[in-house]
Amino acid sequence: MVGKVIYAVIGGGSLLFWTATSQMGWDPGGKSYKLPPSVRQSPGGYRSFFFWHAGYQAGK
Amino acid sequence: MTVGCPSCGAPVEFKAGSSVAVVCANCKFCVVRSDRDIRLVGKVAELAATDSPLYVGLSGTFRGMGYRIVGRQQLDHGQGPWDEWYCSFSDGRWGWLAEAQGRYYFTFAVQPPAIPYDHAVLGHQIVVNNQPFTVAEKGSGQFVTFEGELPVVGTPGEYFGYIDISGPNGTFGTLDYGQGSGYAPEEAYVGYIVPFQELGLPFDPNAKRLAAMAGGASAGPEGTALKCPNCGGNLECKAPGATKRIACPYCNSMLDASSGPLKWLEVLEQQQTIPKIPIGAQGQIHALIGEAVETGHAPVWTVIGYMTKACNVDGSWYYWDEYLLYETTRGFRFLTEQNGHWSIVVPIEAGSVQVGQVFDDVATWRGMQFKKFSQVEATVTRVLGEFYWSVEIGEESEAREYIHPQKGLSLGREHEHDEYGDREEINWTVAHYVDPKKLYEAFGQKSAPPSPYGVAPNQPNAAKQSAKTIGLMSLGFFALWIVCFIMAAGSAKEKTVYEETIDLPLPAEDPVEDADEPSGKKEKPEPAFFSEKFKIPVGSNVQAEIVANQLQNSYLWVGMALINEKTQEVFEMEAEASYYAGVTDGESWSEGSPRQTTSVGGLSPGTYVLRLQPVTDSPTMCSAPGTTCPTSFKIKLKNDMAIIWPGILSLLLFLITPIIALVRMGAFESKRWADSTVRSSSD
Repeated sequence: MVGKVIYAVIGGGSLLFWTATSQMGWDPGGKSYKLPPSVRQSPGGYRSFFFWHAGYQAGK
Repeated sequence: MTVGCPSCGAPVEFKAGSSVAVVCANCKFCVVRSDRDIRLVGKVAELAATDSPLYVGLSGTFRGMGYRIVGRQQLDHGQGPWDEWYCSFSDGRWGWLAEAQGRYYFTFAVQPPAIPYDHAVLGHQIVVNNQPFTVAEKGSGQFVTFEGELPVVGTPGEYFGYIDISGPNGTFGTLDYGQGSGYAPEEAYVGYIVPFQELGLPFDPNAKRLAAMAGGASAGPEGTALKCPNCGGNLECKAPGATKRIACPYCNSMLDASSGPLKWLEVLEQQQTIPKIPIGAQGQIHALIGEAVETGHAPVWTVIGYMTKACNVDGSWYYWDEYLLYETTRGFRFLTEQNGHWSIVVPIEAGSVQVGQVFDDVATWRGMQFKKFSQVEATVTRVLGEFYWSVEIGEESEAREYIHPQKGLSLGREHEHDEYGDREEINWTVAHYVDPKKLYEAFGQKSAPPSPYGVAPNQPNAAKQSAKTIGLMSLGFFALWIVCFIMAAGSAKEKTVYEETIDLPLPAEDPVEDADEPSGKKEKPEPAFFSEKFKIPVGSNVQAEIVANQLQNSYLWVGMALINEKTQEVFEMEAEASYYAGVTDGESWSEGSPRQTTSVGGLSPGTYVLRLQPVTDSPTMCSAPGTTCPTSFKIKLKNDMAIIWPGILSLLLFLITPIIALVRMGAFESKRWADSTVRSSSD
């Protein structure tokens, strides 16, 4: 009985989760953050080398 | 009709119109009448005492029709005498009333079928009086003597072959073959198995027998104490009308209780034993097997006998216990116990079971199919208490078991040979698997029952019921899954919002000074690409696809960042395309793909800029033989893609869970059938 209740909860929960993620467009891939204030205050400031060099690890 | 006895002249009355023979009460000669004359047949022997509660002259009512017992014939088939009572009904009919093992059988003459004795096979079906019956017993008997009147003339001492047949719904019959086999029956009788209460007789059938067992003392209430003739120990007899053997618990003696006072037979060579449910325990078991009973008249069953049986399979001995239960109105039942598993065993009519005539792998009862599970020779190894047959230590019988969990059918087959010839008999019972704790509670046992181990043949498969429920739940979930899939796929716009082909390598960046670096050192930034602004219309996810051209034994890694112009939010992702191929030991191989996708979610609608930072092999590596580094790559961004990955996880759950339930169910069945002596679970 307990097993069936757990299955019902997990099964129903997984379908609800799917419905919610597809409606919200949530995707586990990637990451997001806000630009630091100094960069944001300067239009196009995100194009500066130092922003990406300091906080962004590129390459292999 | 009254005539003078041709022997002594005393008046002899044929009270019933159907009577053909009558015993002269004065000189004990048998007087027979025919259409032409009255004649003597011979002197009849004294009747053997059988302690039957019935007697000539007794009146009763059967199914609304009054009857009177006008005669009695006594027969014998080597197991001791038995009586058949000739009854004359008020509507002119006549029939036979027989008694055996505490049950009564009313039968009436029908047209004999044209079935030779040797053609009737035990357990097979025949048709008598347009009704199907199963051959339940074949044997020979001897007409010993009679009293009162009879409808047919029998010669005392004459042997006859007989077949007892059993039909559905309590019907019963007997075929009388007279002298020798190979002939059609001379007479046939068909009728019913009748509880004593339906005979309409105004007395307790057990009181007389109990008094006889006690040596002629006046009958007391049911269970009146008797004394063992060997040790003098007090004994109780719960079923005096049917009990044939009593095993004394004090001196381990077997006593004969079939007729007259109790007689000592032998000391039993057996270990003293203590039954798990003691002799004398009482309980109501109808609820355990789903049996309907009248409110306020629930039968109370008493444990009156206990035995241990054993069988040998492949050199190993297996033991089980059987408890004989008795109830005054319903007769006998059994409890069986093996390895802590309990079943309530109820006798059923042989005619209610159908088994294949050629292949006996399946038996059908009440529309249920039972698979054959075992066929063994069962031997009695211990006895205690009372029994309605002449049980002996070492007694053997063939036992065949069929199962339809949580029920089982058992076929018991006995074969004996004595001075009367061969006697064969079959008995069918149905075993209901019961919960040990509930059984102990029903019999008022305070101790806990022994824990069951292993799997009993008729034990219900809890995993099977669970698998059915899980299967249904999975079907329901799958239906909902389809709905979710339609919603997820149907609502996704999947619009391309940006597409570009970028040449490699990117133009080098000029060195720049770091204002925070006091030495004024200049850094050379890694090349990056910034796109023109583009719109992302739907607040959802973005999928990026990169396709690198001319990729051979190399890679292209692209770091991507989407920057929302208004909110300054950055969404990062990365993808790596690679392709490697070669020949090793004469076999070619390849791995990787020049096309890769990645995605990021949670974007709000707005204007975005895409930053790309591609990385590939160094120029030195690119110039190695067989290596081609990409000279360009294509990037495509799509907005609002259908999110399927949670659905794939759900689908795996809905597939794996029922598979696990099926595996558990199969494992239980494998354990069950591992003990079968006739087949495996794969059959």
